[in-house]
Amino acid sequence: MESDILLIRERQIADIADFDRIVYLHRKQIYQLAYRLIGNHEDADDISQEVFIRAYKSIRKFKGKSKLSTWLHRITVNLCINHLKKKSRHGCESTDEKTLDMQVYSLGSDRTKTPLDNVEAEELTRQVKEAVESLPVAEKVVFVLRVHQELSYKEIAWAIDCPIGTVMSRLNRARRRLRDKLKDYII
Amino acid sequence: MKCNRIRRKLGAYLDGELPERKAEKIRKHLAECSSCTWELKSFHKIDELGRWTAEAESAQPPEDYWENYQANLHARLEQEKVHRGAGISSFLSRCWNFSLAFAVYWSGKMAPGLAAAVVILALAMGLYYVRHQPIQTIAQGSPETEKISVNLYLKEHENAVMLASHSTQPQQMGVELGYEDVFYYDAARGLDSGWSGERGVFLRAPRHSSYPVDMEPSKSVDIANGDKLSLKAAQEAVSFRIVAPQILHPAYLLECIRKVEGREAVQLVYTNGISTLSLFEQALESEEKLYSSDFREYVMYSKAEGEPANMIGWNSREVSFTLIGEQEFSPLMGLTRAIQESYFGEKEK
Repeated sequence: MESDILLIRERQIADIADFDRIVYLHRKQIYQLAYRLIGNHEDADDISQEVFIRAYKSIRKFKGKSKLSTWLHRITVNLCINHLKKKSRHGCESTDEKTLDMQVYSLGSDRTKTPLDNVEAEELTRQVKEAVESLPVAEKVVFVLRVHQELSYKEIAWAIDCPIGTVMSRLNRARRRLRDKLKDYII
Repeated sequence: MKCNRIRRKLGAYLDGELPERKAEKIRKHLAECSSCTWELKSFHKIDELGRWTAEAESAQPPEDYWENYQANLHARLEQEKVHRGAGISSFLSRCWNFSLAFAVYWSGKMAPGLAAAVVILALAMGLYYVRHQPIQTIAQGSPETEKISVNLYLKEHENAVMLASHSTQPQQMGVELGYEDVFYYDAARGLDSGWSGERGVFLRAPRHSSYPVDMEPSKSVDIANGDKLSLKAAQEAVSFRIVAPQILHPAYLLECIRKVEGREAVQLVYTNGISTLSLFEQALESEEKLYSSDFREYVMYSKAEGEPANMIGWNSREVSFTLIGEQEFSPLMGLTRAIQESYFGEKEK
């Protein structure tokens, strides 16, 4: 964190090399977050690049009060929420079948598992992914930030701009919904 | 404590987000309540499934995705700048046209003083528009431009650029440059002749650059061509850490290292047995008075058809890099990224 702040404060991303470094250090994390919230490569690609473009444009607003990564998370989450809302307004499926196939294939190609294990694992992956996809956007965001990205409640609250109590209640609701959808795998 | 109140906090308890006093109360309750214990376990299982699925997916983009990521990002950033400039320009243009038309139309219908004020306002907007038209870049193919070229230290590469700059159609690749667009002042030529230097490298200075206005054109610089140095000897000759990968993807091997005379800079020559490319590394903020603020963004010299070299320049905090070769931009950009990653890799060790 300290190095991030120094990096920014020294020249406020005045030259492109610093910007490149920031992109280089955070790009995978940002892409993964976008991917997990959006669920397909094309949109995750688009959003992750948009995140860095916005960061580049508004780097002077970054005061170093949070980690740079949290600030980037915040931008990512906002863009993803807008994207998901837009998609839901247009009634599009948020899960990309091709992407899902690719993921299942990558799981299925695990050589340490038997073919039967792989089939079951594929099915489970699909079910879990669909269950997460079906969560209301606000709950999904909190769940992904906590469980996939392992952010603290404080970081999540900052990223989505809401009180910690709201994070707590949304996360509880998300877990309950998921439990209901995945009850066959819970008991 | 009742189960309902406990359950509201079970998630935070599981995540270790509760203060110890509250966590202790929940622990006590769980010891006595099988229903809440089951709720906690179910949350735990959901998290496990979520993490397991995330690991299984690992959000894998296509294999070559990261290779082009930064280049794509830069292209998009550049595109946005152009669009934004064009948007503002277009908007101002429309405002001016509208205001002028409005002023002319109404001048016959209102009091003379007011009509004059409206006309003056319209003209002022027009003047603003003319003065604030965006600077055109090489990407836009500006037909009439002021240009500079670059001295690239090494004679053969300098010749390559100078050959390009003596093209019979110099206007076609011109770049409109203001003082702030020029970087690398000791490499620029032609600035003493009314901004009529030859065609050359597309350069950018930092915004609010401290670019020296009373600069002199550079003297040519020689490389100790006869002296090939070992990495150790070259490293001792400069204060910055030399980035010298032995192999650059796909098959360029480091052939030799030379010191640039009179500068805190080195030249690394790579070859694949058929063609060569040169990588120049120079300290920023060195005794030669190059400051990091003198550098900005990528520098790209694009060869025209039949011309000999492409060039990419960039800086990385302490070192400026210039990569020159006959290769097309795409492989050069790949090499640029490999060098950058090598630089960051060594910095992080």
